[in-house]
Amino acid sequence: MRILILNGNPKADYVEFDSYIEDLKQSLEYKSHKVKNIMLRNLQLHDCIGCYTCWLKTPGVCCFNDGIEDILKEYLAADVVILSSPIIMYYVSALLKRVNDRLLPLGHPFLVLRDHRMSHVQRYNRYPKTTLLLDNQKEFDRESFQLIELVYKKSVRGLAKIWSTKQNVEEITDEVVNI
Amino acid sequence: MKLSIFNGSPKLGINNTGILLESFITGFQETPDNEVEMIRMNNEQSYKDAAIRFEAAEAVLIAFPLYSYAMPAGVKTFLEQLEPLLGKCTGKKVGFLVQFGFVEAIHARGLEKYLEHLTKALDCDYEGIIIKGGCDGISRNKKGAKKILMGAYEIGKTYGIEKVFNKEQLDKYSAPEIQKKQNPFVMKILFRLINKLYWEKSFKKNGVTYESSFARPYEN
Repeated sequence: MRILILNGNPKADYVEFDSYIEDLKQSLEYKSHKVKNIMLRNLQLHDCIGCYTCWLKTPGVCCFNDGIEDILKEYLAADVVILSSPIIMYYVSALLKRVNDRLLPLGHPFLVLRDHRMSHVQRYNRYPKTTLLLDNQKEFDRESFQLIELVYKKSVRGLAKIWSTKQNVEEITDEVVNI
Repeated sequence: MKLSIFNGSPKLGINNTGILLESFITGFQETPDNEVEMIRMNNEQSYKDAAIRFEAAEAVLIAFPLYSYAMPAGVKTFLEQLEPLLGKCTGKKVGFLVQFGFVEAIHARGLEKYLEHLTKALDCDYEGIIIKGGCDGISRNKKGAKKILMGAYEIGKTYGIEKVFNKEQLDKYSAPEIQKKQNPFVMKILFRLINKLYWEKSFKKNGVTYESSFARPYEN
């Protein structure tokens, strides 16, 4: 499988998180998965400014040419995307959220009724499964996990799985194939 | 009463959040001596400045559009600036206003739980949340949004007088929760109309055809 890891750790001095991601990558590669790890803090990505250019002017293409194009391509090429982030203020990092917001070009503005509520038409035929990998530097923060899960489950492409960095990388590697 | 209002719309110019706030503020200031401090957040420096204003404020309203079912990344940047204040904001009143395009309130319910949790972790008093869907394009068509804006005015007025949100009023404003009562067939036709009259018109203005609007530039 093709797996894309988006590392949303904003702090270079939080090395444990980055080395966990590196271990996970190796563990996945050991099982013959093709893994791409993108360190988001090394990119200078803009926040989405809600201009709708990617819907109305250049369909599918963002107005900012700041490296988002490569992320979108990798995203669409993957079977599983692992959105990873330390928990900061009880939520995923602003760095990771920035990429979430910048996925808007993957959708289309047309409305459809889904599960008794409005939703958007999807631009592409195929999307990867979305998963989350979260960490808390202090003790395991169950409440934040549940809150984050609740929000992500609402999204149009859903949430296939949520993991904690308290788990062994081998455990996650085993579970990836079954989601 | 002095209310510090944080507008976290990432847009550079006119924004739907700001339009809703205008009506809310007009209502709020119907009560003499009610005062408003506006804080605009839409770039890195403004998030840092906003955190200082937040610390000094007595009563706060944080307003923003819903981006992928949560706060926009910029608003999260602002919230991260508040980390040193965790548990230290005793007595500060904090409320929220979240607006978005989809009509149903349910889209913001996950976020609502998070915001309440966060507010309590700061040891602020959680005032509640104004959730309003169906707000796409209200900055371009204020006349068509008369009902939405009037509702924001009424909520602002009540808050200005009573100094707390009226839960019943907020629930009424947020409705519908979902479209369960509506006939799915009727909804389908309605959506087709919106797609045609609202979105296709916007494509046309930008020289985009119906077919090219479905472009897949990164298809494998």
